[in-house]
This record gives sequence, C-alpha cells and structure tokens, in this order.
Amino acid sequence: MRKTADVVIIGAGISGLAIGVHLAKKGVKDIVILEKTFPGNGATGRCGAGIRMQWGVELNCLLSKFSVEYFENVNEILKNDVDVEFWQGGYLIGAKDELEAEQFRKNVTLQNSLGIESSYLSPEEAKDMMPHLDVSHIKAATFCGRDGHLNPFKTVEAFVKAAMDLGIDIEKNTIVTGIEKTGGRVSGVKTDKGDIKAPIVVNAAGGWSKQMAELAGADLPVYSRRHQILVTEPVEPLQSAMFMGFGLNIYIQQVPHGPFIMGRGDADEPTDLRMTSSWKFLNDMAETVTTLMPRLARLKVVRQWAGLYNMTSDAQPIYDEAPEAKGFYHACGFSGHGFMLAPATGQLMSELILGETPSIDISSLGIDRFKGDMLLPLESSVV
Amino acid sequence: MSYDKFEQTGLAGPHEMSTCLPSEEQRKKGPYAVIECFEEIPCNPCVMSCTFDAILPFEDVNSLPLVDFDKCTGCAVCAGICPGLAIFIVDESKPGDFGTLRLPYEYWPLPEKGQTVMALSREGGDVEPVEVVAISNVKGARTPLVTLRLPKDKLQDIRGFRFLSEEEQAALKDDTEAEKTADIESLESPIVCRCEGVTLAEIRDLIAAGCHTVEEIKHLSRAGMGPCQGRTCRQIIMGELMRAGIGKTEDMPPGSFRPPGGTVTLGQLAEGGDSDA
Ligand SMILES: Cc1cc2nc3c(=O)[nH]c(=O)nc-3n(C[C@H](O)[C@H](O)[C@H](O)COP(=O)(O)OP(=O)(O)OC[C@H]3O[C@@H](n4cnc5c(N)ncnc54)[C@H](O)[C@@H]3O)c2cc1C
Ligand code: SF4
Ligand code: SF4
Repeated sequence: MRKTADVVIIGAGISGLAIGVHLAKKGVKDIVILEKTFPGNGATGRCGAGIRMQWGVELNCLLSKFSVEYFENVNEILKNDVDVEFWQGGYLIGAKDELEAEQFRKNVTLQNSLGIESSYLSPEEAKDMMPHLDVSHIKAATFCGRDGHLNPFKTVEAFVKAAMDLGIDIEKNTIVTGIEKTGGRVSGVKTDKGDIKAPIVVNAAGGWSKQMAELAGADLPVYSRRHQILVTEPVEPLQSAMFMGFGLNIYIQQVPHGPFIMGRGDADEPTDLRMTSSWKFLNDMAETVTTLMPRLARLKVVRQWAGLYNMTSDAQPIYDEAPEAKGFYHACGFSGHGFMLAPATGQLMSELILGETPSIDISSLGIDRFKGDMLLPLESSVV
Repeated sequence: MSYDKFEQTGLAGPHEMSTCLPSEEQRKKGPYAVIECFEEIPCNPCVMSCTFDAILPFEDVNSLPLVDFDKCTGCAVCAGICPGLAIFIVDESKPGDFGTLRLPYEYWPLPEKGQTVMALSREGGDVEPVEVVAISNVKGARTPLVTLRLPKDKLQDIRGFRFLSEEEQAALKDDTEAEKTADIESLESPIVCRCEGVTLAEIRDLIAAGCHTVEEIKHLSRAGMGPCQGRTCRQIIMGELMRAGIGKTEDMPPGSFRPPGGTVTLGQLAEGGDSDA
C-alpha cells in the first residue's frame, strides 16, 4: 500500500465515493479511499435508496433537488454506462392526522416556492393513484412525480467505476486504526495494513464516524441507531410510486424486478452498532403494512436485514472541518437520507475542502450548531 | 343446468372426449384412432373401412362409432375415409415429451414436410408453432393426412393448423436463432444461482475483478438474494473462491444469512402478534 496521499477518505460508502470522485474531477491527484470491508457494505448497501424532494425544511429540499437532477444525468456526470436503475415513479406521502395534514400543506407551499413540483392530494385522489392503499387511514397526501428510487448496489458500482477511471485508489479490507496529528493539523492515518501520510483526511465512515472522530481526539455529536428493512417475493407490478408516512411510520416501494421493499423506524432500536435482525421488526412491519395495504398480506417475506442510521439531534447532516484538527473533515450524520444526499455531499464537500464557494449555502450544517442554540429547525419529514 | 360445451358450441368437451379415448395401458402400445363423432347421423363409412374390425358394428346407420382399442392399430384408413373429418390418429407411445397427431386436411396446397405451421385448438385458436413431420395419402382414402409433432400434453387439444404469415416466419427465425445462442451460452456457463439466474462465468469474472468474498459477489451479481437465500450457490461460490486461491473455505466469512429461514407471509406475521425481540 502507498505511504502518502493528498487526500485520505475513510469509508467507501456512497458518501466517501462521491467525495472522492468530485475531488478528483476538480483535479486533486493522489486520493485513496480506505474501506474496512468492501464498497457499499455499510448503510449504503443496506438502504432503501429512495430519493425525494418532498421535505419540510428548505435546505433538505435544495440538497435533494440537486441530487435528483444529478441522478437524472448520472451517466454523463460519472462518464460510464452503469444502469443505476433510477425509477422515477414518485413518492406518495400520507398524513396520519389533521396536524400532519396541516404541516403537509406548508411543506408543499415551501417545495413549490423552490421549484419542486409537488401537490397536495385528498385521500380519494391518493386512492386513484394507489388503489391497494386503504385511505381510511390517511387524512391527506402529497405527491411528487420526480421522486423515486435507485438500485444501491448499481449506484455504488457506478461510483466505484468512476473513481477507478479517475485514478482513485480504493483499498478494500483496510481498517483505519488511528489518526495522526501534528500540531493542530491532521497528518495521516494508521491502518492495519500500514500508515499513510496525508494533509487531508475525510471522515465518511457513516455509522462508525464517531469512533473515527475519537481517533483524532475530535468530538462529534452523532450516534448510530439500527434500522431494519425487509424484502418480499417478486410479484407483478402493482405499485409505481414509493409510499411513505411519517406518523404512519412506513416506507414501501416495489423495485423494478418485482419484490416489495419496506421499512419503519423504532425508537427502541439499539444504538450500539448492532446490525442484527429482530422478530419484533417483522411483526411490527407486517402489522403496519397489512393495515395500510391489506392486499399485501398474501406476500411472502424473502429476507430481512438491518443497517445503521447515523443520527444528529436535528436529523440533518454535518458537513464541516473538525475544530480539533485542521484538515480533518466530517461528512456524516445523514440520518435516513444519506443515500439521496450523496451527490450533494460529493459536490459540497469537495468545494469545502478546496476552499471554494459552495454551490449551496451549507454554513448552517456546521458542527458548531450543536453547541449553543443554533440548532436547525427539526426536520419532521423522517421515518 | 350447467354449461354444456358440446350442446352450445358443437365442440367436444370433457364429457364427449371421455367416451372416445383409450386407457393409459392402450395408449402406451402404439397409435390409435380418436373418433370425435358425437351426432347421430346416417353415416357409416368408418365401420366399413376398418380392415381390423376395430370399429364396433352399428345397430343401425345412425349409431355412433366406438373403437375397440385392443384391435385398433392406428392404420389411419378410417381417418382418410371419414367425410366429416372427425377421426384423428394419435401416437404417444414413443419415449420423450413429444408425440404425433395425424389429421385430415382437405385444402390445397398441402404443407411440406419439415415446415413450421401454427397449431390450432378445437376452437380454432392459435396454440403454438409446430413442425409438420409427414404428409400421407392413405390408399383408397379421399382426404390427405398431415402429421404434426406435438408436446404430449397437447395431443388431445390440437385439432387443426394454419400456415404462418411471412412476418410470423421471420419473427420465428429470429427467436430460434436467439434461443440457440442462449442455449450455447448457458451450455458454456452453468447456472450457479438458480433464483437469480447467475452463471458460473459471471461469478468467475467477479472473482477475477477482485471480489474476494461471498457477500461482495452477492451485492454485484445478486447470487444468493433469491427466495432460497443461497442454499446451493453459497457453497459453489466458496468453492470457486478457493479454486481461485483466495483462501480455505473454513476461513472464509460465509456471507450473511438473512432471516426468515423459510417463507412466511406478511399476513401470518401480522397475526403472529408480539413475540419478543
Ligand atoms: C434500513 C435503511 C434504509 C435506508 N433508506 C434510505 C433511503 O431510502 N434513502 C436514503 O437516502 N437513505 C436511506 N438510508 C440512509 C443511508 O443508507 C445512509 O445515510 C447512507 O448510505 C450513508 O452513506 P455513507 O457512505 O455516509 O455511510 P456507509 O454506507 O455506512 O459507509 C461507511 C463506510 O465506512 C466504512 N468504515 C467504517 N469504519 C471504518 C474503518 N475504521 N476503516 C475503514 N473503513 C471504515 C464502513 O465499512 C462503510 O463501508 C437508509 C439506511 C438504512 C439503514
Ligand atoms: S384406425 Fe385403422 S385400425 Fe383403427 S379403426 Fe380405423 S381403420 Fe381400423
Ligand atoms: S365415417 Fe366419420 S362421420 Fe361417419 S360415422 Fe364414422 S366418424 Fe362419423
């Protein structure tokens, strides 16, 4: 393995890969991505890979709009022809009660003001769109037809290809075990395969980012929580849009080759980096989905799995340089939407690292916000 | 009263067919005549034509023909004689999945041996393209007989054929060529994961490209993600990794097993109530 690099990125999830690709596109030469197992084996390869522009706070709307436009042109941008299976069947989001319906009205106004073509629907209109949905459980809905989902494995493959074409080293099976500092600056990393000197180190370790920060003596106000998900047998196309509910606590999509993929959140899930599966999830998930979509009761479950959400207290990411170590950057705390934000993450982090003016103002996503009372408005549109 | 296909359409239904077919045993012996003649009409050439006395003697000229299958040799004389084109000769005695159907065909031109035609059901609907394997004119008979090669399970359903249009012939040619190449490809590379249709060649390509764990190969090829959850492909992939010199199987991470171990429906799970985490 090499002894020096201009930039070391920890983690070959979608975030680390996107950051590497964008730095290289801007001309940065010696980039190495260190990955403890293999690309996409963290949250990235375990996620629903849904992407939506229907958010409740402005910044999330802008970041995800950037990403939708990016994924629409991903082959030109990454200069390869990997089919990432971007399915733009829309997101239909159901409001559980009047309170949520009221919030949805505001969300749509905000989204429309930012050029996002979402609309507010009555339960009957939602029923027309998704006949197998029992709309007696929703008070209203919103829909945006440009939202959708991707194949996370294929997306990783596309980014890995682009990274290799740009001359980036991806070191698999390489565990970062230490981060070196000289004065107040980062100066390299230690791994189980040897040390690498580098003036810039990026923490894109997802669920493990807090541990990476600790190696540099940096405090990172994030924690990880397990999220579970399941997939059914493949069936004939029934549902084109992703259905989601925050109060209802569900997201469910039918992927192009037929199976349904669904998940939900649970505040009782462990926060200790565990990625095991539980019966409770199967039961809760089945109950939630068969109540909302009784027709799906006959579907067989093929498998379930779990991944880590890396959480901040306002459910928004951290894009910043660590105050404790110059040259050490964090891109983490993505909650349940780091996959869809990845294009923005790549673009904005590369600008931040190279001292360029960011394409979207992300000054509010700094690490300082957790210190005083500068917390962002809490994003309520999450599962 | 329940729907009676024969009464309403004149087409033989299950009841009629049950009266004119031989037993399992008799079918295995050789070809036999299926006489689909269910209207009492004053007609008897079939009885007269059979040199084996295999069609039971009529009480009067209006009687329905019944075949004694122990005597019938499938010679097909009656089939060429019957003015009603009601007699078919079926042979399902050869091993394999295919048999033959000889049917009277009184139009011009006749098809050629080896030609592909569209097999038709009793109702006259397209069933599938099939091959003409023989054309014959039984001595003394009035109607030529055309022999079709058919899957055994369709021998009692197909009772006619039509010629293919030029477009249909062209499309068929493309299909068979594509099928041939697909056949050759799959011959060269056996399927490792049957659920997802992943071939050994794909697995070897991935290993050569640097995928050195079962899990990685699973992400990129989908091998092991199907309903069986890798019950057979997992071992084969580990074997391939070992052959490629990646390591000993016992040291290899086996790839993740994802519950549930057997299939269970969402409905069953929802009813299952709360079991512990
Ligand atoms: C069940 C589930 C469903 C989700 N659904 C969606 C969704 O629909 N849409 C969406 O946008 N997001 C979704 N998410 C969130 C999304 O998956 C994550 O936000 C995103 O994948 C984070 O990517 P990442 O690259 O930052 O982290 P990861 O993909 O976790 O990558 C971090 C990488 O760092 C590596 N690493 C860790 N420690 C070390 C070390 N010491 N040395 C070297 N490497 C190390 C890990 O192996 C890993 O590969 C979901 C998440 C889960 C769990
Ligand atoms: S097929 Fe031949 S043997 Fe059989 S009944 Fe007819 S004529 Fe007789
Ligand atoms: S010759 Fe034909 S029509 Fe006449 S009785 Fe025999 S089968 Fe019927």
